[in-house]
Amino acid sequence: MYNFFNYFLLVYIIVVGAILFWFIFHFLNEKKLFLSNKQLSLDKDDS
Amino acid sequence: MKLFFQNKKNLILLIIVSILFIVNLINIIFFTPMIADQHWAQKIFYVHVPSAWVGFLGYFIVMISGFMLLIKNDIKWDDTALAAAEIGTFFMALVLITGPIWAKPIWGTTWIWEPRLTTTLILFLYYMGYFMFRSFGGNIERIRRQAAVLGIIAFINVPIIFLSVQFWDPEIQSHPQVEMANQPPEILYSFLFSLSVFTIMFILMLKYKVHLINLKNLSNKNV
Repeated sequence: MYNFFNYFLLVYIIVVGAILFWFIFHFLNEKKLFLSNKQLSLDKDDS
Repeated sequence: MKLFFQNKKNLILLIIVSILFIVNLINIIFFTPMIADQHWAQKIFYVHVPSAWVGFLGYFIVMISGFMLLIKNDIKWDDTALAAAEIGTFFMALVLITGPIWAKPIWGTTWIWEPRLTTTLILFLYYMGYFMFRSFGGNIERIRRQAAVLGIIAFINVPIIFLSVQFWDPEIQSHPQVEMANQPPEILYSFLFSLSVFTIMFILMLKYKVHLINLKNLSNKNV
């Protein structure tokens, strides 16, 4: 029969895992943008 | 500008959504009835359908933002449309991945060229074209307005997908004509709970994505 692991849990892990990955990816991206913005404004202040 | 989760409200929303996802999982596993002929495979329904709902909600926001951009000509509507389009397509991809896993035990095959599946795939591919169009470059003002029109046209497909089981003859349908209101309360309430959890998650993701687009715009201005 359609068991718990191969059907329901697999789908739940795919969906929640993808959402989690989305957040981690965007968090790292945000951090990178944030630091580069900070650096650029510091460079502007120096000049 | 602060990091998104340095804002207390956003952090609290993230914690609430995470707890709700765990509660949702426990509820689906232990408190929803087991359907005799589908067993655990039927419980995919509580994840698959809310993912589709959130995808359509994203496309609805793209359409509204498109209209607002064309009327008000304010860039913030384009940012919202882009964020909603990305999240909508993300969930649509999840629907197209989880659907075949559910379909295999029920229909005996992962894919059938029947109305609802075909129109869903068309919508997904249409949005692939939408992102390609946006990334081609050119006059940014013109791209924004044309993307808004594309987003409005794309939404025509959403009611077609939703009503496809009524539009076409029953002989070519694989999706059952299920009336959610006629479902037993254990199924209906669990489904509505899952739908609400996914909707709150969508709101958080949309806020985060809009924040990131603003940060990117700021970064482009500084360069």
